[in-house]
Amino acid sequence: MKRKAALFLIFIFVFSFHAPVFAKKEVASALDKRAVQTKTYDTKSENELMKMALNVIQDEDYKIINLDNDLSLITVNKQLRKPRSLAVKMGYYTGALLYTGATFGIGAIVAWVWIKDAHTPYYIERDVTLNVSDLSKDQRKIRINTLEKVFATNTGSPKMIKSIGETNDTFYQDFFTKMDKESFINKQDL
Amino acid sequence: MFKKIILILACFSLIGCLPAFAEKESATALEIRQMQTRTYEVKNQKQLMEAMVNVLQDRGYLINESNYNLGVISGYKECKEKRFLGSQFVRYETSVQINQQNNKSYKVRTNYIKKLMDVYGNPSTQKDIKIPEQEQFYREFFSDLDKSLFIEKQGI
Repeated sequence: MKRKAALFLIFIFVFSFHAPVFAKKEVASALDKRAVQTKTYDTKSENELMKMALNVIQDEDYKIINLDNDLSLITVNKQLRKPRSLAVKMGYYTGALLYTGATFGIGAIVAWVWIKDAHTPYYIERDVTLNVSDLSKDQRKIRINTLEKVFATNTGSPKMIKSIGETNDTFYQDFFTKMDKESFINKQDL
Repeated sequence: MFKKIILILACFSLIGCLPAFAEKESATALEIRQMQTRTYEVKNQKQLMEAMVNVLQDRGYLINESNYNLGVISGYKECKEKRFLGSQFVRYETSVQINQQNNKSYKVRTNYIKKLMDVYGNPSTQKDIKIPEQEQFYREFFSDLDKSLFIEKQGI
C-alpha cells in the first residue's frame, strides 16, 4: 500500500513539471511589441532611411505592394519554401513504417506517398509593413511588422493552410542586422 | 386530463422561447457612424496618421493601401480564432479615414469586416462576411489610438 502511495506521489511530482506547458501565455503589450519591432537610426531624412530599407528589401527578394512616401510606409510580400524540420520528417517516417508493418506491406504505397510528403517543403507567404518616422532632428525610427502564412503542401493535393501569425523575434533581429550593415555601407558611400 | 396539462405546459415552454425569435433591431446609419467615429485634437494630420499606423501595427495589421492627401489607410490581418469546437482562420479588413474639422481638430472614422477563411487560406464566400458592429470592438481601437498618441507625444 505504502509502495503504491509512494509511486502515486512520485508520478504527481513528475507530472507537475509539465504544468508550465499548460500555463496561459501572456499576451505581449503594445510597448513590448514596439520594443521588438522598432529600431532607431541616425539619418539625415526619412527618405534616406526609406532608401536603406528598400535596399534591404530588394536584397531579400521581396515584392513591393504598397509604397507611400508621404507617410513613409512600405508594404512588401515574399513567397518562399522552407524544408520540413527533422522532427516532422521523423514523424512521417515512423508513421510510414508502422503503417507498412500493420498492413503486412500492402500499405507500402500509401507509406511511400507519406515519405514523399515529408520531403515536400512548406510553402510560406510573408507580408511585411515598414513604417519610418521622425524621432528627432538627426534620428529616425523604423518599425516593421509581419504576417506569415504557412501552407503544408502535400503530394498531389492543394496546399492547405497550417498556421497564420507573426514571425518569430529572430526575423526582426535578422532584419535589423541587415539594416545595420546597410547603414554602414550607406555611411561609407559604397 | 393529464394530456391537457402536458399540452398546456408544452405551450408555456414554447412561449418562453419566443424572445429568441424576436427580430433584432439593427443599428441605424447614424448609430453606426457614432460608434465608428471619434474626434481628436492633434498638431497635424501626419501625427494622427502615424499614430494610426502604429495602432494598426500593434494590433497585427498590415497596411495594403494608404493615401496621405485623402487621409485614408487600409489594412488587413489574418489570424486563428478559437471557436466552440476547434478553431477557424479569419481575415479582418479595416479602413480608417481622417477628415479635418477645423484647425487642429480631426475626425477619425474606422470600419471593419471579418471574413472567414477556407482551408486553403482564401477568404471564403460572401455569406461568411460579418460586420463586427459591437461597440466594444471600436471602443478598443480608439482606446489604443489614445494610448498611441500618448506614446508618440512622449517620444517612446
